Amino acid sequence: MGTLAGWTLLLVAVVLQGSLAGHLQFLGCQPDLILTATLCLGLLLGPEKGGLLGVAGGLLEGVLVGSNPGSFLVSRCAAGLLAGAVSARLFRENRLVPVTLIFAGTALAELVFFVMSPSASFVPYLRLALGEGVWNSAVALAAYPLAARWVGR
Amino acid sequence: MKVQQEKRTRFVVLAALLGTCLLVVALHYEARRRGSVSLPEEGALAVLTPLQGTLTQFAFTLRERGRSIRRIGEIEHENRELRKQVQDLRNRNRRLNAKYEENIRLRKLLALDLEVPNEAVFAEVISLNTSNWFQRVRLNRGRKDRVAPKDVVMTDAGLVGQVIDVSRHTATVELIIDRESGVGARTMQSRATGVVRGTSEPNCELAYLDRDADVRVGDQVLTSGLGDVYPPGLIIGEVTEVHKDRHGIRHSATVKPATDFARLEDVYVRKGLRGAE
Repeated sequence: MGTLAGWTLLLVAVVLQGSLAGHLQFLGCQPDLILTATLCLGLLLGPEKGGLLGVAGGLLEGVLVGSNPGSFLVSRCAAGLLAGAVSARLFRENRLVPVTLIFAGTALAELVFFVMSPSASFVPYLRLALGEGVWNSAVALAAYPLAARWVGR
Repeated sequence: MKVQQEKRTRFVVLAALLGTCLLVVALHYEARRRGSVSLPEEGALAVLTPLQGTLTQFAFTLRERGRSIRRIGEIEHENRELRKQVQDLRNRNRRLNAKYEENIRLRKLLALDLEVPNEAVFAEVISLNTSNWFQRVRLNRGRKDRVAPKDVVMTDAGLVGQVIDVSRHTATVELIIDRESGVGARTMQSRATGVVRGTSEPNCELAYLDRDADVRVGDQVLTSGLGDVYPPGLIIGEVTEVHKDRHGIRHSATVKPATDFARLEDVYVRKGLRGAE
């Protein structure tokens, strides 16, 4: 049940990323709902499923953007694996823990993405990555409890 | 024994997954070389596009409604002004139509061919920027509508960007504000040439200006026609700042695009320089 619910949630995130996320611009940043879903699901379902969902989410994000599917795939897979790996050692019931982890997970994923597909300069990239991290954490504050209920954890 | 078999199954699944990923990525790059999308991407887009299109339109409607409610007093005033303008324009249109018909008659008398405008395809934006790293949108027109890579995308306000890949029903457009975009440009007033580069910010940079180029705030920036994509004379935007370092080596300007990319809904696609040949 958890896995099926996880895949459904990821697909919902993919559709929303392609349609609504672009409207949620704040200070030039928008949330990455696919990455947020991957991290939340990694935390809830463990490293294997987190990694697998990261692979699928990364590929679909690459398709949506129409560019760099390999970089999206590897960075999102790394984020899902990491979230799953640390989830067992943390007290997930505290709301701040997943929110903080999603910020850290976003930073890691985007760092991996930058290493694989370097953009013009690091500083503007860093600013965007941190902004995205804040956005993703804010989304996770509401989405994580819903996801936990949805996948039955 | 059971544990070993489980390990083996896991290994096989992982290897298959890795192989599939590599295949999908390789197919993407092979298709991109041809300005197309791969078969797996085409399948994914066929499923996602209708859902995205509906939700995007819903989001646009919702945003416009919210904006209208906030500006109701202003809108009433604007409406009165616009009614006046419509009346003036109707009168002007009547006069121009008469001139147009006269023009056709005279051209026929002189046996001149009428200039055929580029065939344009009207399209809706079905997916706005999906990532912080790329400024791209997806349109609801593709190969079946004869949209091709390097076609030029515009609105009535100005230049939007170029098509970078097409599937059967959709096309991806790289906006001029994308950091990978570069458009040959010149200013309308002084005819100074340069390249309008995207910065992933709302404004672009007019770079590679000549040291002595006379570029001023308020100058209109148009496409220069250099390169193999954009025809000359398309409106890009307006100069809002001029940057010149003390030694006069670096000379550039900030350009505010004429198109409002945050409210991009309807566009038209026309053949670029290469397609028009």
